[in-house]
Amino acid sequence: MKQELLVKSSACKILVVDDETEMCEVLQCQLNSKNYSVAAVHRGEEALKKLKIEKFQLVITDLKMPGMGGLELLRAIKQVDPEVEVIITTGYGTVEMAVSAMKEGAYHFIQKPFVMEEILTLVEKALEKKELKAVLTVYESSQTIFSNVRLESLLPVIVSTACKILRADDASIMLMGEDGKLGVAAAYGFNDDKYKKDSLALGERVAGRVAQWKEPVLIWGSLAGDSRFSDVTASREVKSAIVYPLIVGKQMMGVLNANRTLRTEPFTNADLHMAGIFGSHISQAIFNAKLYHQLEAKNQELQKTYRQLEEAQERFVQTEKLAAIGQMAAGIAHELNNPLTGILGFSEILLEEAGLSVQQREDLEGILKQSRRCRDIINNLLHFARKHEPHKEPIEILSLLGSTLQLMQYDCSTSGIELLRELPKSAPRIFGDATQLQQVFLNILINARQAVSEKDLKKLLIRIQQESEDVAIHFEDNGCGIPRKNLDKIFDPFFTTKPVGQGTGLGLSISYGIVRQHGGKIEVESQEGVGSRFTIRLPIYVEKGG
Amino acid sequence: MVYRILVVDDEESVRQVLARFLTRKGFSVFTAGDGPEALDLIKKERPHLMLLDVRMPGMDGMQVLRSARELDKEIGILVATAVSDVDLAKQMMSLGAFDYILKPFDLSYLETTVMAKLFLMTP
Repeated sequence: MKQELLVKSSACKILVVDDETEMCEVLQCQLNSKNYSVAAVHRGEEALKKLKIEKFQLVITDLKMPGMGGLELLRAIKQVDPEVEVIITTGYGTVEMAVSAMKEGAYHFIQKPFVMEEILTLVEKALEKKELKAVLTVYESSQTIFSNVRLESLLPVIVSTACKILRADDASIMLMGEDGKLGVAAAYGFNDDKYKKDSLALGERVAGRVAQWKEPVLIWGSLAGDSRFSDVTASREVKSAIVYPLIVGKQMMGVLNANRTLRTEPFTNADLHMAGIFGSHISQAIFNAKLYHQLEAKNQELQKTYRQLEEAQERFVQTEKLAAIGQMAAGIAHELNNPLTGILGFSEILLEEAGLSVQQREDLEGILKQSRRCRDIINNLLHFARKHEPHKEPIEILSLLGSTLQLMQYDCSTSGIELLRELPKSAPRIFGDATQLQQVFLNILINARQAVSEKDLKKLLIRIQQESEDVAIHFEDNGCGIPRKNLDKIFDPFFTTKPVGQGTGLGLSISYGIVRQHGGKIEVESQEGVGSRFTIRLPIYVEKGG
Repeated sequence: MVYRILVVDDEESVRQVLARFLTRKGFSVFTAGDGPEALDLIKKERPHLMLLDVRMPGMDGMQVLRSARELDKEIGILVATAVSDVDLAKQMMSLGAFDYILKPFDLSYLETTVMAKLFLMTP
């Protein structure tokens, strides 16, 4: 592993600075024999100038030189490029000198005359340290990268880190989309947004080829001068580029682009190597983020299914409850109708009796009236309990609602209720029993009328909206609203808040049953004192074979 | 002429109220609490009309209706029941009932429909 992390010595450039030509030659010769690429200058100023235009990994400088000395040069180097390692040599060093050199950031301080072995080991260690330092940066950034589990926050971190680690002027990451094309997913250091539109097929331009070849490329200078890309027209001027494929297992995820447009020194093999380490990390991080995303989506799907299940269960309970009550009601109704026939009949007979006082007559009429009320309640119950298949046919919801509203129109205008309609010119048909649905609409409208009765400004708004698979009919009123504690009870049979005698508490549960039988949904939103909105959703009728 | 009406119902209060009411209206009223009793009375008393319940123990209204028709082709049969069933109503009507009213009913309505039937039956 260590071997892999280390940069091959040939990639390492060393600058020797010494006013003694012999010294320069000896070092140059020795280091060359170890496959390092070595340049030598005799003066500090010269060295600095060279460092500004050329990239070196290591500088071995003499301490005492005419003009700029070693320490001064060290300081200047650390300003130009803090990553360059510096070894200082001297013929007559003191402890103080050594300490101050180390403080300034020198890698080592070595006294002449030195054994060649010693300096070679030092050089090797210095370069290794430098490389490890860079690798450490990658690992440190990896921690940040891996802590980002979401692609949208991960990708910006990746590109900015790539710029830092590879010392690039700009970087972008392109991910393989579902269409098999590479699209820019994040970028850093660009001046304009043009690059965002880039979408490349496999084999198209540089990034497309890298994705196809699954091999990283290092480009120096213009594309025209590179045999692999000579047919690609450069979109802008780039001095040097690294394009690295991001692969996990056999899966091509995308590419990382890093460019130098301002920095003069081109990317080296060492940078490419670094890009490799970084690339393998970010590939895994992106892969994880994608997995996380999938997991999250699955989780959401699961939660949705769970909610649906809960809803279905609720509906089932409600339906079962209705059925049980229906059966019971039918039985009770039959039992009650016989005695009621007696009560009604005897009252009528008595009423025909001559010689009744006014009070007696009134009382008897009271008995008759209340018995008839019992009969109506029972009839409602029986109607509710009866299991008859509704007669279903395609229905124009607009005209059905229109005729229902017409029934209410007179009533509304005399009660001072403003009946507002927001109806489309046309609405899809639904499949159902017109009479039953009209009963539902009427029921909700009558409830709404009652809800607004105490208000000064009474408003009722009817809206129809087409949704993807349903037609939604909204009934909104600005009435008294439904207390939160009652909201989940209003569809229960016999639940009523109306004064005794004004409602059986069956209307909404009958409506609920009817809408459910039509494969629809009935929902209520309400705020006390502000109003309520009932929404009925009915599936759009789809003609068979059509 | 006094018209004879037979009231068939297993519920005593119903029999009572109908007997009281129809008697007051000047009819001659007989009551039966079940099917066999009803058929006996048809044979013995030759009623013009029969008010017939459907749900009764033993013979139900449908069976009573069939047997009554066999005994007397002319008898007017009015079904008065709490069974609100469209199919049953249709069936009873097709077997010869002239009306099917649901309990509980207003006696004034019963009177109207009875009178109308008797008016039609009068030669």
